Amino acid sequence: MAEQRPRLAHPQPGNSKQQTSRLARFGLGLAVAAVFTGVVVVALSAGWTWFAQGTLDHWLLSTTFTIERLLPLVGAGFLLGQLPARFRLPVLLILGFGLVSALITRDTLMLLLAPLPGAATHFFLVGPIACLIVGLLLVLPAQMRFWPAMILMPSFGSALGLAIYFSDPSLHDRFYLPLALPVALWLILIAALVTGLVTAAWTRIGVRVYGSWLVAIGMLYGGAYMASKQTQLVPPPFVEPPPASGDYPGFQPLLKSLDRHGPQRPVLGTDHSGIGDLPPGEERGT
Amino acid sequence: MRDRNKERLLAAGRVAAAAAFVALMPGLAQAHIVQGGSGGFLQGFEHPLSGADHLLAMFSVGLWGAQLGGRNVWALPITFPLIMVLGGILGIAGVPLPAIETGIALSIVVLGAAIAFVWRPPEWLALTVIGLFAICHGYAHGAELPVAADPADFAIGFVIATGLIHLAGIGVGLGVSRALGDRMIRIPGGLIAVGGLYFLVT
Repeated sequence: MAEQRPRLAHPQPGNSKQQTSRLARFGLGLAVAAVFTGVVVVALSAGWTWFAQGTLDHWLLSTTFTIERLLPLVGAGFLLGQLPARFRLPVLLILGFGLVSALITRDTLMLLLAPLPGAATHFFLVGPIACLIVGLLLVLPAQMRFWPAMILMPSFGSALGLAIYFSDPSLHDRFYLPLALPVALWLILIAALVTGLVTAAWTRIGVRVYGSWLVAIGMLYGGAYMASKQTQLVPPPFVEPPPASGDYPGFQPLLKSLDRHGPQRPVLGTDHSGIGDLPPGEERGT
Repeated sequence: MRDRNKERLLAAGRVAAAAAFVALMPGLAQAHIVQGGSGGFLQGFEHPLSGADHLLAMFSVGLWGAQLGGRNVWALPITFPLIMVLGGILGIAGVPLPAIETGIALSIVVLGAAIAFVWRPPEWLALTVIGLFAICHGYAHGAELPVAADPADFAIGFVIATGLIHLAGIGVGLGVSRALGDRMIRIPGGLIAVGGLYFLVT
């Protein structure tokens, strides 16, 4: 009679380790599949625009791949990738919450941000704010990032959501938001995957250095916007009109091409009679 | 033994070639506060690279960090941009600061001399020295920002370029000390200090 293996009341350490590694492998496979799917979606979207318009100037994702959008997105990815695995989901969820709530309550947020100097003319400073938040979180030592991230990530998500909303290159194409939002999250995922996989000691240092760059960029370009020397529209300088000559100024022929040969409207006479002169060689008909 | 000598010779040749490349780079004009005109990412990226004084100072920050070793390898390049922001804000706000160009030239002399004479101050002092000079460099950048056509891209460009020069300094410092020994870092340090004296005098 075959010996039956006893049922285990508690999971053995070996089993638990195996399960964890299987789960990690599943997660990794899922992430790689998501990255690949994203590449396909982005390539299809670019190809579709190219074939339809012959140019990528009005590509829906053209603003998503600008450097000022990519820097904080990659920073957020680095942050997620270097968090312990159990903290990643809460931070990602709270970021998503901030992002969605910004799209719903965008008018209120704009009202809140409007008093900042230069805000209304510079996309409500959402770009510098996003850089600053992610930079500050990355400069912190890795083990001290979780709670500050839980506090600041909704604000980062909101800044990101508003930035995506403001930079619609198509003027309300219904596919813009459904495309731009997942692609932004996909970019975060790629950066998180890279830092999650490459765990050498120098990556922690590199990410903190990157964070210091983000803080500097956020402060400087936010500051530059706020200190912008021209904050309101200025009318052109007044130019005094030439003195009146009595020759009905403004009614002289302006362009020689309009004075070409052939039938043309009579112009106002030089004798100020109101009866126009005819071009030389033409006679007035009856 | 012969192989070892050959390796050393090769490494010295590489370092010499890199030094010659840097020395012969055209257009190494003195960094300046532009009084108008336009600026975007490329102009911002070019700004620290096109002025020899900014370039030498940033490079020596990385080199000094590598020479000091330990935590300083990353503490100095992280501190520099963070403090540089303060100077940048003063420059943006138009707060008058005297002798900024002299401060920038002095930063090259002090950092170069620190490397040449292997000065190993306590961490707080090294960070203070770096911070003081970062304010001068930040001011020069910040004063230019509000007149740039695209301040966002300008700021991104020059912060990334500054960071990359720091990384180049760290890379050269660690590479030279591994290939040729710690003493060899003193030579570029001395050359940088002499370059700083030139800027200070002119």
